[in-house]
Amino acid sequence: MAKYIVKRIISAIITIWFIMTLTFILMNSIPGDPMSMGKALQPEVEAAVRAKYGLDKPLIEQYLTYLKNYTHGDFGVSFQKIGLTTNRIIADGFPYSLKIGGWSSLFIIVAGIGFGIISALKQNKIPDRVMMIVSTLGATVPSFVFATLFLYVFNRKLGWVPSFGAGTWKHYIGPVLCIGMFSLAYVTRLTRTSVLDVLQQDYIRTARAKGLSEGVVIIKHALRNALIPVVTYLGPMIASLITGSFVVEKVFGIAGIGSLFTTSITNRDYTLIMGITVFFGIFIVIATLIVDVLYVFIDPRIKYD
Amino acid sequence: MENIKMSPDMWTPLEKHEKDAEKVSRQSLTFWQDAKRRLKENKVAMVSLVAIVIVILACVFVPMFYPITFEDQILDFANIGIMMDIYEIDGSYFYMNGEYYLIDVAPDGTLLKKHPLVKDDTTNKRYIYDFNGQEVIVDYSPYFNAKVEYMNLEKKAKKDSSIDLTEAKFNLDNAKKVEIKAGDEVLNSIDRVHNKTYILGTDNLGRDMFVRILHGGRISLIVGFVAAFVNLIIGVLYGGIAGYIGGKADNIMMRIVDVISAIPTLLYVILLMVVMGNGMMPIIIALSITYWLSMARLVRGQVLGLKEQEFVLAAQSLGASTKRIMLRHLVPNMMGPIMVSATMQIPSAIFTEAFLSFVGLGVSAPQASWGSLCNDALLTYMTYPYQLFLPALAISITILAFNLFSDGLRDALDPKQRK
Amino acid sequence: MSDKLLEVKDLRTSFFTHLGEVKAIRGISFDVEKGESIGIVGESGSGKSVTSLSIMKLLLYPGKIVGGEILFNGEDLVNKTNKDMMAIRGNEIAMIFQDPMTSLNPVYTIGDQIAEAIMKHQKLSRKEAHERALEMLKLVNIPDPEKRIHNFPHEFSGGMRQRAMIAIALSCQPQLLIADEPTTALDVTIQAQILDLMKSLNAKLDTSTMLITHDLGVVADVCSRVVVMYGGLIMEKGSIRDIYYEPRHPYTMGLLKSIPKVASDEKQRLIPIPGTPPDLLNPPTGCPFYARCEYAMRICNTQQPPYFKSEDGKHESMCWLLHPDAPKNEKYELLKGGVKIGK
Repeated sequence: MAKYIVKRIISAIITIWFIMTLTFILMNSIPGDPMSMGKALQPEVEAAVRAKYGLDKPLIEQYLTYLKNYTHGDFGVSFQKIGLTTNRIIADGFPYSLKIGGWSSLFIIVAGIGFGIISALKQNKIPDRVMMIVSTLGATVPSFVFATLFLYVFNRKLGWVPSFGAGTWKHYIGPVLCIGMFSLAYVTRLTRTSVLDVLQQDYIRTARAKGLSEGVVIIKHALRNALIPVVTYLGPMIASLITGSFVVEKVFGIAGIGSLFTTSITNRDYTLIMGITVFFGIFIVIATLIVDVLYVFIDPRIKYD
Repeated sequence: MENIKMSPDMWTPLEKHEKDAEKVSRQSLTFWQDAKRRLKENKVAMVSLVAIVIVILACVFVPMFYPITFEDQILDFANIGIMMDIYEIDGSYFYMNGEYYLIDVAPDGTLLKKHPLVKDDTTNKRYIYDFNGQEVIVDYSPYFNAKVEYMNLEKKAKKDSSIDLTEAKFNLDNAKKVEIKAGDEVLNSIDRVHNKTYILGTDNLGRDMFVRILHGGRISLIVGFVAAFVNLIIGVLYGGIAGYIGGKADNIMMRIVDVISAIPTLLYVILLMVVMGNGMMPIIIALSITYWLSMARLVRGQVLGLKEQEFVLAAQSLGASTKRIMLRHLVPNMMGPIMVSATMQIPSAIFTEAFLSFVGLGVSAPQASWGSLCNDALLTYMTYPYQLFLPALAISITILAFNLFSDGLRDALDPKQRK
Repeated sequence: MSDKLLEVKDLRTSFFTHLGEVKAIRGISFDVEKGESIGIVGESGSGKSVTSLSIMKLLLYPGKIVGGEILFNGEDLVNKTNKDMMAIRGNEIAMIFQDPMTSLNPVYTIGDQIAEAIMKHQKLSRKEAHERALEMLKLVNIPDPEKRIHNFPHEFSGGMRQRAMIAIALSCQPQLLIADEPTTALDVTIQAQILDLMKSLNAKLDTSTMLITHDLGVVADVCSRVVVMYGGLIMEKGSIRDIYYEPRHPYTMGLLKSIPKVASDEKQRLIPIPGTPPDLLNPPTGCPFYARCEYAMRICNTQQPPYFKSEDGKHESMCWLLHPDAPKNEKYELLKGGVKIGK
C-alpha cells in the first residue's frame, strides 16, 4: 500500500512539473513578451523593468527562476496592474471558489449517489424514469444557461434569491446548484449503472444464498463495490467543479478565482493567466491524488496493481 | 397416455425435414444488420437522429436562402422581441422598444421604421412624438424615480448590512416603468402580435436572431464534427500503433498519455486559445490536440484484446501483411466502440466550444457561435431574456439529441452493456 | 415422516421476458433422501441451474415459479416469504456456485465472508464466528489458514476460492448442499481435489448433496442417483447403475457417448449429439429431444411421452420407444444394454 501511495505521489509531482513546463512553453510562444503588451515605455524604463523581472536573461535562466519562484509559492506578478500579484488574486478569490466548490461537491456526493441508488433499486419504475430524465437534462444544459435560467426565475420572476455577489447563504444556492448540475447528473447515472451492474454479480447471489436480508445484501455487499467507479470519478469531478466555476462565477457576479481568471483572460494579462493556470493545475492534481489514495481503502485489489 | 389415440402410423420414423419443421427459423443477421435493427427499434434514438439531421440541414441551408444575413444590422430595430405589444393612434400603429423609442409597425407586425422624435424632454423624463398632429408623450419618469430610490437604498445598504436589497430590487424590476399618453389619455396596447420582420427578434445591434442562431449553429456544429473527427484520427492512429506494436513502445506511448491526461484539459484548451487568439480554427485545434486521449486508450485496449484473438493469429499465420490485418481484421471489429465514442465526442466538443465562447475565448464578432450568442446576451438577459434563451435552447436541444443518439448507438452496438 | 429431505413435485418455472414466457422448467419431480447425493445432469439451457435457483428461491426478475411444490422437510418452500427463506438459505440449504472467481465479494476478506453466515444463523459473536471460520478453512484444507483468513479473494487461486465457497456453504452445517457446476471453472486436477473434498465433507457432516453438472463423469464419482434434464423436463432418472449401464433414453445414451473414456483401451471416437436444445419460448409439444433424436417417430413431435418405469419402479424414462406398441429398433435395443464407461 505504501508503495502504491509513494508511486502516486511521485507521478503527481512529475505531472505538476509537466504542467509548469508546458505552461511556460505555451506562454513564451506568444509573439512578443509581457512587456510589449502594455503601453509603450521609454527605452531606459523598459530596460530597467526587464532587468527587474529578469526578462533580459536567456530563456533557460528565466525558466529556472520561474520554477524556483513557483516552488516557493510565488506565482508571479501582473504586468498590467501595478501591485497585483497572482498570490493576491488567489488569496482574494480562492476562498469563494473553494466554498462554492466544497458545498457543491458535498451536494453532488450526497444527492448524486442517493439518487443513483434509488434509481437503480427502482429500475424502470417512476422514480427511476423521473431521475433519468432530470439527469439527462442536467448533462445537456450548459452550466451558464442553467445559471442564467436560475437567476431569471428565482431572482427576476420570484425574487427569492439575490442576483449578485456573495454575502449571505442565499447567494450561494444558485452557484452551488449550477456548478453541480452536470456532475450531479453524471454521478447519478454512474451510480445507477454501477449499482445495476453489481447487483448482477455472482457474489450478490452468494450473499443472498447465505440468507442475508436484502438490506444487508444491498448496503454491505452491493454498495461498497458499486461506489468504486464513482469514487474514481470524484477526482476529475473536482476539476470540473473548479473549472465550471469560471462561468458560474461570472453569471452570479462572485469575485471568485474563476471570474478573476476570466477577467485576466479578457485583459490578456499573461503572467496572471500563467500563474492561475499553474495554481489550478496543482490544485487539481493534488485533489486527484487525494482521491486516488482514498481509493486504496475502498478497493483492496488496488494494492497489487 | 390416457386419452391419446394410438394409431400405427404414429410409430413411423420422422424424416429429417419433419424434425426441422418446428425449429423456429430465426433469421441470422450479421453484427451490423443486428445493430441497425436494434437502433431502428430505439424510438428515442431515431427521434434524436431526425432532430440532429433537421438541425444540421437548417444550419447549412437556411442561411443560404434567407433574405437577411447574419451580419445585417439595423440599429433602430435593436432588441425587439418575438412578440410585440402594439399601440394604435389615428390609424397608425406603433411599438415601443426597451429604450422607450417608438417604432412604426404594420398591424400584422411588420416593422416599418423608427418614428421621428420631436423632443427629448430630459428634465421631465419624457419623449414627445407627433402622430399626424396628435402629440404623444412617452413618460418614463416612474421608472427613473424608482431607480433613484433604489440607488439611495443601495447606498445605505453598503453602510448598513442589515438592509436586504433583494426585495427592493425585485420591486424595481417589476415596477411599472413607463406611460404612453396621447394628450391626457393614457394609451393601452391594443394587441400583441408576432414580429413579422424578425421571427425570433433582434439582438442588441438590430441583427436577426433567427439567422444568427442558424449561423452560430454552423460554427458550433463544424467545431463539434471537425474536433471529433480529428480526435478520431489521432486517437485511432496513436492507440492503434501503441496497441499493435505493443511491448516497450506501447509502454512509453501510454505513459505519455497518462501524463497528459493527468493535466486538467480545459485549462490547457483555455491556454491554447490565449496563445492562438480567438476564432474557430484555434478552437478546433485546441480541442483536437487535447481530447484524443480517451480515444487512444480505447483503441489501444481494443487492439490489444483483438490481437490475441484466433482470427488475427490465423491471418498472421497465413502471411497477411500488417496493413491487411489492420484494415481487414482489426478496424472492422473495433468500429462499434470507436463509433460510439466518436459520437459522444461531438456534443462534448460543442459543449466546450460554447463554454469557451462564453468565457470570451470563442469566435469574434460579427461571427457567432451558440456560446458567443449567449455571452453577448448575458449583460441584458434580465431585460431581453429571449436573446440568451434562444441560443441556449439550440445548444441544449442539439446536445440532448446527440447524447440520446449516442446512447442508442451504444445500446445497439454493445448489447452487453444494455441496462 | 419419510426420510425424504427434499421433494420436488411438478415444479414449473418461467421467465417472463419481453418476447414472451420462457418456460425454463416445465414440470419436474424428483426427491433427495437424507444423506444422499443426487446428480442433475444436462447441457446448458436444460433448466438444471434454474431448478437449483428455484429451490433456493433466488430467481431474479423476471423469473418466477409458476406451479408445483418444493417440499423441504415436508414444508412447501414455494409459499414461503422471502423472510422465511432467509432463515433457511445458508442455514439449512446452502449453495455453491459455478465460478469461484466471481462468487466471492472482492472487497471483503475470506474470513469476513465465512463468518457472515455464521453470525447470521448461529447468533455467534464476531470473534466466535471468526474462530469458527478458521475451523472451516482448516476443514477445507486451506494451507496456513491463520494467515489466509485475512486474505482477500483476489489473493486466492481458483481452487482455493472454491474451497472457501465450500467453507461458506458448509459453515452452518446445512442439511442440503446444492452445488451448481462446482468444478466446471477449475483445472482438471483441482476438480478432482474439490470433488474428493465435497465427498468426504458430506460424509463427515451428514449433508445431502444436489450436484448440478453437465459432466456425467463427475456425477458417477460423487452421486448415487442421477436425474437427466433436457428442455426443461426430466428425461430419465435412476440410480447410477441404471443410467450408466442401462440407459433407456436416447438423450442419456448420447450424453454417455460424448464422455471421453480415459481408462478404455479401445480406440473410440467421441460422438457428439448433433443439433441444439429447443427454444423454450415455444417449446415443442412432444418430446423436447425429438428434433435431435435419431429414433424420432411421428408420435414424438406431437405427444409428450409419459414416464415408463422399470420393474422396481426406480428407473423412470420419458421416451416413446419404451411403449409396448413401439416398433423395436435394433440399434436402440443394443445400446439399452449399456454403454461401457471407463470407471
